[in-house]
Amino acid sequence: MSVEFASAIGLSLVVLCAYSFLYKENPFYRIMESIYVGSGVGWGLATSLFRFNQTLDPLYKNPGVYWWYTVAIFLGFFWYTYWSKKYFFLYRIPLSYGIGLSIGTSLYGVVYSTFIAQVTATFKGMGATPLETLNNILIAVGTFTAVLFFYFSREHTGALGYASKIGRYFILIFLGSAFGNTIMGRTALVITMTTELLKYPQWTMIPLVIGLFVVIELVKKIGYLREFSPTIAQAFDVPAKSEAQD
Amino acid sequence: MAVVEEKKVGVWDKLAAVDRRWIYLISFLMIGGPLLFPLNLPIGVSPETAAIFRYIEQMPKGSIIALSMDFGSPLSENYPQARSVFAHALKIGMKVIIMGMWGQGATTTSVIMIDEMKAYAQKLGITAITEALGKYGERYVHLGLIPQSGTGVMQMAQVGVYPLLFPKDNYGNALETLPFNKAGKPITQFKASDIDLLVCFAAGTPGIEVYREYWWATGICKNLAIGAVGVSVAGYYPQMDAKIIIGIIPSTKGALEYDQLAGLVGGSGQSFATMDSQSLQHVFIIILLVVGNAGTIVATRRKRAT
Repeated sequence: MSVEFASAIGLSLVVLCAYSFLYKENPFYRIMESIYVGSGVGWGLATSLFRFNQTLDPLYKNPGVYWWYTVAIFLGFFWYTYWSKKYFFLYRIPLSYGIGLSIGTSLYGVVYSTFIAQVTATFKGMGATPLETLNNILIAVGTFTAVLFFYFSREHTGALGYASKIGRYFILIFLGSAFGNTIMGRTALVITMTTELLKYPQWTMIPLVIGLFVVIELVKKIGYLREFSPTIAQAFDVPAKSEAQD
Repeated sequence: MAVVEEKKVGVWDKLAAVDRRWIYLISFLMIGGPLLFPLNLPIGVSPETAAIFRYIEQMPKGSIIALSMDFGSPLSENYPQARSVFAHALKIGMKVIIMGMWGQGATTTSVIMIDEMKAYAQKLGITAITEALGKYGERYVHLGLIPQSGTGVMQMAQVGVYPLLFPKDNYGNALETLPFNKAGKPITQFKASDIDLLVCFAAGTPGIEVYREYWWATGICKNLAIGAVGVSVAGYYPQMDAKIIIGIIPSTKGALEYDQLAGLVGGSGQSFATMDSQSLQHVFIIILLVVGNAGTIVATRRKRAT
């Protein structure tokens, strides 16, 4: 059996085990879940260590110039003093450095790109064509009324009530668009996996897994599993004999 | 004698009590059916995707396009987009830098993308892509993971990619050994300002906002585009309107749109059959929404009446 064939079968089983949750909670799904979490953590750790080692390359090559890397590494270890009551105060050094750096470097960019630039683009005035002008008016009205919807310092009655209601409709249109796009995203995940499952030899596992579940259900029905192994029966949620009789 | 009141069970009650597993099964058939028997429904091209395509087309040959692979698990959406843009960029003679702030996208997925692109180009006999892929370090370079995302991106803008940020590429080659350059300027002297276009394939945070805040807002690199996952597409339209980003490739549909524009259908790994599945699935969801809402209205009226 070639590596490609074995990995294709493995992939198929992994996907089917994961999807078996849609039928019901079962041990195959739980095994798959654990494998997924374990491999994810392992992969993440390996990647981080690889990257850490690569980042230190200048220090390995030229320690005379990049000696200050050791200071950064030393300060980095202070993160771990979080778990010590005695040395907890050291934890604040890298923390304050990180917060200060983030705020200092991103403040201008955040305010300008997420606020000023987008507010300016909201009120564009006349467009080149009547349709563009209408679009610009809709954007301005939509933004203004949607913001009014979140104005809570006065009761939403009268003119404010009408405006906030219009704003609510604009928000609902946005949410509808976001929902439609989300469906597309989630469906794309299933399509990718289904495309893989429908290839050979992956598809051969589909009847096998379905057959396995049918057999398990039948065995559960006749109560054989309970007598064969109480532990396995418990894993498959087979009711105890007394419960079954009830 | 106790009076047993028989409750009338109508169609709506039955629909409300339907086992959700039937819905999953129908949903699976809606997706699997068109994959086996394609309907070949037409797919239009959105102006947001076309904007990115047109921008890349008008760039001079040898321009630097950076692909920021900022995704982990949503491979189904961002990965086809990245493949499509990568294929197009190589086909028309651009130079590509592959990097990213998400470990999986920036490293393993990018390696897979390069390998799959080789197979795709060979299968279809697209020599321009095959030749470009044969010139690693000259036409494209895979830098890998940007450490500390925001800090790394800022460092790229102020200090450059070498030696602190990327002493080596993703394969462990020392950067100074790679012939990658822009009009004679070697990659070791590259800064963010040398990048002519950054396309961020973002599944979430960190994503385009990091480049927007550190590069766009400071005027270091004004040419940003995004390949977005479905859930966040709607949120990027205001940014395109504000001319912060050039265009948006929306989810898998965007990848196929881009393939069509670039004349590389299949370059993204997406086919028209996958879009047929999408369309049928959306029709099914619309039916569920209509039935679900109608059921709620009927139930509310019945409650009011009693």
